Amino acid sequence: MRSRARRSGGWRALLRGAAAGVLYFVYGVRRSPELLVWYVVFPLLLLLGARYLVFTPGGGLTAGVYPDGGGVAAALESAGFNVAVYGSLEALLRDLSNGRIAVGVDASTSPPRILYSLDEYSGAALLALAAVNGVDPGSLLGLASLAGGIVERVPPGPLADAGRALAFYAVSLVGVTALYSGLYGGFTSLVEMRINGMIRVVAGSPGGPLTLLGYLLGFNTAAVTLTAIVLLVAALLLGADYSGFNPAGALVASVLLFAGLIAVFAASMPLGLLVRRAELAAALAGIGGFALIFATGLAIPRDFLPEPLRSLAGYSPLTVAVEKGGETLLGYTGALEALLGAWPLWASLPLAGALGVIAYKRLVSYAVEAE
Amino acid sequence: MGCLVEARDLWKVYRGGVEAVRGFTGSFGPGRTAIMGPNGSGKSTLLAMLAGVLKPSRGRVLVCGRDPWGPGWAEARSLVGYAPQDPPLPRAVTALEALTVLGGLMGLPLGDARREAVHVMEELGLEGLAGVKVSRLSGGQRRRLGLAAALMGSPEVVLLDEPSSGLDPAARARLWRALGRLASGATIVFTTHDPVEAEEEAGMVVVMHRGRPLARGSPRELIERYAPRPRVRVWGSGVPRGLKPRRLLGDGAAEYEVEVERGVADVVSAYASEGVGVYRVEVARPGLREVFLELAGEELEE
Repeated sequence: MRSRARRSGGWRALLRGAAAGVLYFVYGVRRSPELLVWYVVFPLLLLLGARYLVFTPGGGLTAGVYPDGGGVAAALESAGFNVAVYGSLEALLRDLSNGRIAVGVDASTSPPRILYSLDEYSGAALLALAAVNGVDPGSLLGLASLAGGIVERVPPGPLADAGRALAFYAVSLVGVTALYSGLYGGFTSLVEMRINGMIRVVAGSPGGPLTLLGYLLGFNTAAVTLTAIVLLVAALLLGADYSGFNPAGALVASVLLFAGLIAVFAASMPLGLLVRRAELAAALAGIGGFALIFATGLAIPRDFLPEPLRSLAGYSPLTVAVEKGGETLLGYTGALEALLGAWPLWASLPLAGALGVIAYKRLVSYAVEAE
Repeated sequence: MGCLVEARDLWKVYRGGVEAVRGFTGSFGPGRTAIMGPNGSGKSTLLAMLAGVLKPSRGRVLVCGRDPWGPGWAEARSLVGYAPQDPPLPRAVTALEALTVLGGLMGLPLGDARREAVHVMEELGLEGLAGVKVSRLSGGQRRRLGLAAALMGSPEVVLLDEPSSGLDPAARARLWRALGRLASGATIVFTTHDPVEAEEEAGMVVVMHRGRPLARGSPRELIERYAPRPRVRVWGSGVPRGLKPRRLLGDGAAEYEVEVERGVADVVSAYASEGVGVYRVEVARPGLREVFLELAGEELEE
């Protein structure tokens, strides 16, 4: 007896579905402007916005002071600095290493410590030193005598330099697409497929429900891969600094981002059980995704978030994937170190996976039993 | 070649206790079988259960001896091509691309899927739609695309839910000709509420009503068994007292059953002898519509 199709179970069904999903994306992105807008134009706009509105020099020198009082802030302002007062030394150091402030003044010590991170701000540090000590900045000799032990250089963080920050931000935007893809290409698609009968028809195929799961994953992976390529190339053209690029790190970053995508995809599945209207599912994905890209530090770097959001976001699987992926991609950490450092991702993956599998089985069961 | 599809005491009870199929037992062999019945008779539900896309509440389906809900499910499903009434199609791509993707989802290697898609579209006369985006297709075109998807890979068993619904007569004729070429020798089961189509296109007919099969046989057998005599319908100014109509129709006509067609003259004579005016006379050769009427006691709506 001749079968119309190759029978396939388990991994083969998943892979066949994934191949069909990739093919659908490749066809679709050529035919449907909405897919092109979603996976290419939108991330590019975010990157361009970041490049020309955020990661750009200008706006005057900003100095951070911790703590307030003692006339330090006033002295810096009179020297022409914009001054930000910090409630904790930790926050001041973080902003200093990220390049949000040019100079930091730790006024909790006596005499105050003058801190800077980027070489280009060493002059500003001396200017601040002069202002804090009431010395004429023109008096280089006197300034040099002061500079000995109280001007310190803080190692710059990855976001301190605009070119570097853009390189990191491109990885974050891949995370943004992975988040939206996991939501729209996960539970939202399933709600729609349940309504239009696709779940029933594909679940009734020789590969069964795994084929459909592979299809969704294949589509999403292809979409995020395209976005990643476009963003990384665009970031390069916009002046992102990819020095220290580590090919093994790129591979690990891909693995981490894929794992992050799966975590979001799986964790959102239970919503598919609760929502029965496609419009509502799309609205939930849109609103939820919008809130999450900001709350988890994907659309804006986590270090820019207020506490306790900043700390909480450190446990978000996709944020961890993006941060560790970016670090190893740009050579800040080794591949193994990045993999191990992404423990919140690995810890959440089995939980999200279990939830997703249970929800997916129930969804398929509801669709094929129609009871 | 086609093989046997068997249903044993199949039940489907939907949410809210609606019994769509109530204890269907029967088998479908190679050739064309029509499941005929009005809307809501359980035809589509039965077909979906046979296809393995809808789980029966009770009972068992065997496709070529394999249970699509049992251990041999993958093999059973690999033998079936199923086209629902409103086929789910990937909408962001062209018709040819959608068929290729669907072929891949149904387990065809992607290269073969593309070739099969081209071939089936040509056979069904859909080649002109190959480059048209699915979201721009009309309902009838999407339905034909769904049929094409079901026929890809030359399945042993083809299950089509109202395949000709919404098609113009030319497209309908082309569909049945193409089915003859693409699925010759296969077991084809299709649903319809059109008795003429069932009579013309099916070798066997199962009459469904309210979730149960009322009768089964070839169109000729069913007609001979349940509606052997011609019907005469007379539209007149009244009904002669000397005649007992089989039933009165809503539009003022009376229907009579006559032994042979010669009996028509007797009916008309009765009208004339009692001075009842006759406006129109219609002699109907009995068909599956009359069979359904006989079995279900109600008209088969179209």
